[in-house]
Amino acid sequence: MQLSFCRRVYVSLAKGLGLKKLFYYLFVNNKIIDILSSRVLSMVVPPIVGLYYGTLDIWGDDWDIVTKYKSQHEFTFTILAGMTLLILFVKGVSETFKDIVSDRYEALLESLIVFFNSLVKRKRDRYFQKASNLRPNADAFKIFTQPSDQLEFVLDGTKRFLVDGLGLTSKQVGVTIIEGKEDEQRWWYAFKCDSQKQHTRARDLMTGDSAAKYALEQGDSVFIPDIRKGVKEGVFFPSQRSKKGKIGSVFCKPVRVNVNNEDYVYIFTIAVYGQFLCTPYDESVCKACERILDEIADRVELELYLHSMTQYKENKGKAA
Amino acid sequence: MRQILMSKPGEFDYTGKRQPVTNLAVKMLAKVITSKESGDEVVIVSQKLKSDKETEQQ
Repeated sequence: MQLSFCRRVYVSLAKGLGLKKLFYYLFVNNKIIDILSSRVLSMVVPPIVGLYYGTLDIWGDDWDIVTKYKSQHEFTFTILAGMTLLILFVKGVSETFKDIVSDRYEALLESLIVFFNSLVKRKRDRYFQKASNLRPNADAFKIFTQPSDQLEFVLDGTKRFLVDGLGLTSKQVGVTIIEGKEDEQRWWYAFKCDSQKQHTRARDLMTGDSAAKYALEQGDSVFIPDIRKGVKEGVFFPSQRSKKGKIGSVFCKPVRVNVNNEDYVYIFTIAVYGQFLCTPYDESVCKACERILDEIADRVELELYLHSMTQYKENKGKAA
Repeated sequence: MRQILMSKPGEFDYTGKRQPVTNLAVKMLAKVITSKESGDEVVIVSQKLKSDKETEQQ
C-alpha cells in the first residue's frame, strides 16, 4: 500500500515535471547508484551507525577515546548518518523505479504470451471441431492446417501485440505478407492485417529500393528502426503514409519455400509510421526489439510453409 | 544473417520522447524469450549497404 502510494507519487512527479529520463539516469542507470543501492552497503552501514550512536550515547562520558576526540566523533557520525540517509533514499527511489520497469515487463510478457497462446488455441479448437466430423477418405491436411486462416490470425495478433505490448498507435501499424513470382516479377499482397487499408503497390515495393526487396536479396530479415536511415541508404521505399508520418520503423523477413522444385516466395513486413518500434539509436534496445520481432516472424514462417504446400497441392490438383 | 540498419548518434533529429521503462522491459523480454546467442544479428550503421550492393553488382 505504502509502496504503491510512493510509486504513484514518483510517477506523477516524474511525468508532471517531464523528468522521467532524468530520474532514470540519476537513480537507476548509474554506477554510483549501483554501489549506493547495493545490498552489502545497506546491510552494513545502518547497523554500524546504530552501534556507533549507541556507543557514543552510552559510554560517551566514560571513555577517554570519545571525550578526548569529541569533534572528530561528531564529524564521523555526521558523515555516517548522512550516508545512511542517502543510501536509504537512493535505494527507495531505485526500487520504486525497478518496480515500474517490472510492471511494464510483466505487461509486455503477458501480451506476448497471450499472442502465442492464442495461436495454439486457435489450432487446438479447429482440430477439436474438425476431428469429430472427420471422414475416413477426407483430406486431413487440408481440413486441419488451413494456413490462410491461421496467417490472418497471426497478423492480427502481431498488431495486437504491438499495440497492447509496445504501446503503439493502432492506426499507424501495418502488418502484411507479400507473395510473388520472382521470375515473372509479379507481386501481390497475399495477406494484410487490415484489408481495407491502402498499401503501396507490392510491385512498386519489389521493383523499387525497398526494405522488402533488400531483405529478399539478402535472404534474411532486415530491421530498420528509423525509416529515414532506410531512405538515406536506399533500402526503404517512401510511401505516402511514410512521408506523412515522417518517422517510423520497418521489419521485413523473407520466406522462400521450395515445394517439389517450385519456389514460393513471401515477405513478411511490419511497418509503423509516425512512431518508432524502439529507440532507434540505442543499439542494445534495437537488438532486443529485433529478436522479439524475429520470434514473431518465426511463427509466420511456419504457417507460410504450410501455405505454400497447400497452394502447391491445390494448383497441381487443378492441373491434373 | 539478420541485419539491423541503425542510425548513428546525432544522424537524425529525435524530438520524440525516449521510453526508458519500455526499453528496459523490451530488453528483459528479449533475454527471456530467445535462446539465440548474441551475434546472430549484425548491426550496420554506415553506408555499408550501398557499397555492398555496388560490389555485388560489379
